[in-house]
Amino acid sequence: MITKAKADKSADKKSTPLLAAYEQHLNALKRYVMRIIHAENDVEDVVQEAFMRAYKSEIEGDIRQPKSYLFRVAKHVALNQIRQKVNRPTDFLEDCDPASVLVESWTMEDEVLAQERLGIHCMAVAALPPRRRKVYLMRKVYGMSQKSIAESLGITVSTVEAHLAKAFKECHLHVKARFGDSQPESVRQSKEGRL
Amino acid sequence: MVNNIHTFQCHEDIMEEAYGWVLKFNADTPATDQDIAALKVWSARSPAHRQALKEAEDFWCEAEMLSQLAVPVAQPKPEGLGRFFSGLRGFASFLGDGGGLVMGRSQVFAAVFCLGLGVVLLSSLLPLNNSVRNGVYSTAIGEQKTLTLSDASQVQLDTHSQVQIAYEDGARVIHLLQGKAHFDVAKNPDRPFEVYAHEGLVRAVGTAFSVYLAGRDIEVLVDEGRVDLARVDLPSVAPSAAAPSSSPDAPALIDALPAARAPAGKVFLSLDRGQGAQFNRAQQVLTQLSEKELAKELAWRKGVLVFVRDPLSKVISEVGRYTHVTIEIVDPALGDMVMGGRFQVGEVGALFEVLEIGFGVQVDYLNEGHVQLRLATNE
Repeated sequence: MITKAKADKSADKKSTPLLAAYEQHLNALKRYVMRIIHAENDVEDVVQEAFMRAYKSEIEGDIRQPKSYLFRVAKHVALNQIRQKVNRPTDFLEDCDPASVLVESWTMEDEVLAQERLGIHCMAVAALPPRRRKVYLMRKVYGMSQKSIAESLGITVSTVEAHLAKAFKECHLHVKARFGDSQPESVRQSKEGRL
Repeated sequence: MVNNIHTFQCHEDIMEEAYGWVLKFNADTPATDQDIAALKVWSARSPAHRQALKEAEDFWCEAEMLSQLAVPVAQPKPEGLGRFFSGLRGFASFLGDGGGLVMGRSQVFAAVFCLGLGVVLLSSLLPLNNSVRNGVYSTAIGEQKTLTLSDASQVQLDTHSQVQIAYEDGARVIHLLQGKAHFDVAKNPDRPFEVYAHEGLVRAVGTAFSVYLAGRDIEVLVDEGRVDLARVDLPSVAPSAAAPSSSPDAPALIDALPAARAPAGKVFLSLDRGQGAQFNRAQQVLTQLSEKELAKELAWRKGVLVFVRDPLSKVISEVGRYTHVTIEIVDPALGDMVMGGRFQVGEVGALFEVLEIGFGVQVDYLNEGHVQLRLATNE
């Protein structure tokens, strides 16, 4: 395939294009991951897992742009990681089936659809009134605690909670109206495989 | 607060409570044993409760994807990201009050959302203020347009398409003369909604579907409700049988049309939501689409083309519908190359860029209106 020829071209014996990209952009990669997961402690893990996954793909020979591939994999791993941090109430119920399996591989298809869903989420957020939008973004984009949101906006924690509840509802209805009840498999992840 | 008498709850109430549970379990302090016990009692009320809870937590989980939008102002965005996807582009800052957010460590953050889609969406989805009357309506290459009809049904025209609206008292008749259109039909059982395309007829009462006239083939896709398909005999539809309503827009065209309504064509197939059919005079193929596929097929309505593991030949023929530029695939093998991505309607340049950067394709511009694609040679 085209890709192989390209990958081989710049590869010398010791370093692969991916490894070179990894070494060259490691700091940028860490900053990028940090932004997504908000937790300094986990950055190394995510970056390393991303590299391992990308490396595996490289061996299989289907990487076109090592650097951008690496960042995309890192985003995927980071998003998986923060999703697993969400506490799912159904985990406390015995009779509920665990949400479907953790997605190991992900494809261009998933990425396209994820972009599309992100766009819909953005529009849902855009439709919120300004104050509520701010609270919601501080929680979901920046992973701030309810307490620190309350402090930085000078409102009470219960007001923050009320804003979140309404934003939750409005965004959910908005996204649901666009996509129906179906969710792409890649976002249905449980805590299985966490250990 | 749980008592033993539960009044009937509507779905919205249950949903509201489900949001509450998800928030409680993700609050600053972890859920207590009492919370867990109360949750168990709540969820035991009905399968609907458990379903709502699952739905709410799935959404909350999915919404975590928003975190990738966190953008520290000081640091540049890594290059090369999302290069394949032009879906997120342009800027719109949503963080209220016009300013950034001052965070705990006096870091200034600005959440910048990239929503190139937004503009396209607004322009293509905002219906015209006035409903349109009977007549012929068309779009130029690359143009999309939404018509609102007198009964509040909507017709969205894709690129290079043409319809004739011929509403009558007893029926709502539309002829798809060329291209592709999506119909969002206002419900009215007394007044069937009929779309004629070449030798095909699609009949609905209140539903949403798209029809694409590709030569003599008719492709129908249903995204809501149900439609009936029938074939009509073109020669038997005498132009004089029922004179078309006068149309000042394109009188010359009218004579050439199968303008009259066929005498109730025989229904040979019914399609439900998520089903598609391709048919012509002689044959028909029925397909069942997943939600993903349905969303993909209807992405054009949002001014976007989505491809997932499609051969380049298909990508080019689809994209080609939106541009005057002739795109030629020189190496036959290239046509079979599988690719994916999303493109805004009419953004041919972005496609070429993706092909060059990501897929090792050489793009030669012969002149303004003609482009050749071939496999890139080494260097």
